[in-house]
Amino acid sequence: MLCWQLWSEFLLEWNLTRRYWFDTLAGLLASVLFFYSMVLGLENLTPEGLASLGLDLGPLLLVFAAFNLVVGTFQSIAYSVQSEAALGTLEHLGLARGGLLRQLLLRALVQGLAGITFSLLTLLPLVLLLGVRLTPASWWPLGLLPLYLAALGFALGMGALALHFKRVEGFFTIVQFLFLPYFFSLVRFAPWMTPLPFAPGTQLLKLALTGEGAFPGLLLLAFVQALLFLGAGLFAMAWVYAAVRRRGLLGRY
Amino acid sequence: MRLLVQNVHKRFGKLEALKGVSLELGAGEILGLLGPNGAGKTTLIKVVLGLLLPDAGEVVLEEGGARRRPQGHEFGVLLEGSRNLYVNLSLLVNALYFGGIRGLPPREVRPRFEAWLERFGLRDRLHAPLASLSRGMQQKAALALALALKPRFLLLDEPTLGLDPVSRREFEGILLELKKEGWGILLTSHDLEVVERVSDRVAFLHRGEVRRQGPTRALLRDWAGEGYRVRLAEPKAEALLKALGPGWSAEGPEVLFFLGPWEALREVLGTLPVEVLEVSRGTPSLEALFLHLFGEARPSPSA
Repeated sequence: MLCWQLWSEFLLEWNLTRRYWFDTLAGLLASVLFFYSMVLGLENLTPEGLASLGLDLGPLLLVFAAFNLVVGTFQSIAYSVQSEAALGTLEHLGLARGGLLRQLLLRALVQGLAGITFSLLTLLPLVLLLGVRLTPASWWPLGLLPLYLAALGFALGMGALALHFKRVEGFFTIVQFLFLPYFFSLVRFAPWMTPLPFAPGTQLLKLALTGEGAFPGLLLLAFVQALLFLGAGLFAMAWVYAAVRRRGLLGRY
Repeated sequence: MRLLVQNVHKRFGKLEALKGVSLELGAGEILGLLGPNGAGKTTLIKVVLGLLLPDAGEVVLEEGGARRRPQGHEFGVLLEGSRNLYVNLSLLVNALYFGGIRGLPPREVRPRFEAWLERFGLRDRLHAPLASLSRGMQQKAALALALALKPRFLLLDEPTLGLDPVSRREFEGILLELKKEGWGILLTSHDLEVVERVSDRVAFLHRGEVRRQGPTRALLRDWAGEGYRVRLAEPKAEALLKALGPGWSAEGPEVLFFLGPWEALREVLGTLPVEVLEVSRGTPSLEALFLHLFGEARPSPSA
């Protein structure tokens, strides 16, 4: 039964992407253009190029992919909660087998995978345009997993905010603007950054896609942090779901 | 199999939306839940569905001697307004999605959904987006889906809202067929004619309390001794209604119904500016009873 619940989220995601393909394509293009114009701008500011700033394009690009994955996932979950509330279908999701929490977790899983696909599709043209060489290590999926799980946890937390406040675009824009410099600060990763949010996962992704070896300590820490994020996200969602059911705010503003 | 709502209380801040509501719904039965706006009908439906947590009381599903809390996915639901399906997706995708989230595989949902669509004359719209259908068709499609999910009970919140008279009649016919087939249906509606024709029992809810409940016919019969039908020579019932006091309702352009004692009626009859053709005793309509109970009622601030 759970598999049909998961399948139904794939079905919905696929049909919405197919129906609004133009918007999806435009979003992809916007993401590519954003990074490309940022690199062009930086290169124009520094005649000697990015290398003079001590920046390597490869890690910069991978950090951008991590940023895309985290922000893309939380936005899609939160916005889907918001739009379901506006449409009035959120209450029907509450009638899912196992309740709304289970269904939103499954949706987060699917939208997280969609986020990974989106990030990879953004990465490909940028790799070609900028001539960056990525040499993924054999263990690269393992390097992606902690960031994916952490992104899911964060998305559930943000989804909980959306479930409570319903309209959250302004707040999410702030989060997005805070995340951009934060993630780019992780390009120059230093050991003291390891416990910072998303830092071990992002560093692991960088190592995995540049063909370097995995550090067991970093891997363990990344997974622990990801599970903490996931647990916190689930707790936040469960808590808010109970609160909106008590207060009669599920599915209405 | 019975659905029992037992002594349910729900408070939103200072507003007590439900005050010890108890109801019962069996298989093969339609229970009409009536009341003015803000009476607590939708709140009660959401409590039954588990979308709203009650402060006290419980909802129980009784089956073969066993009692348990029903799960949301065991109900087929039409919520008020057009908010039951994704309007930009096809009927089929909607059916497969909502079936899927209730743990039902497509091989079970699709044939059942197609069969219900066939019955409602919508089979050829299977791949059409919901938004391309008229409101009446959308309601039928939503009901077809609710039925295809094989629920134990149907909860229909204002299913005839916004439907034209033809679609309303069709919907009424569908409800009667479903009842014959053994579906237990909780129906809320301001369309009292429909409720009167299809429901076995009605419960009047007002400010969170059940004011009166029982078999529809018996409830109306209890009032029959005090009810009088007044047939007019001209179609002025609606116009006269404005000048008449509480207890009066119009049952058509030339028919007024008065729920009250003969003495009170006799006083009014002499003052009517229209010739009266006939006065007869009769069972009041559900609308007359509704107006009698809630004629002075105003909606509560919210619920």
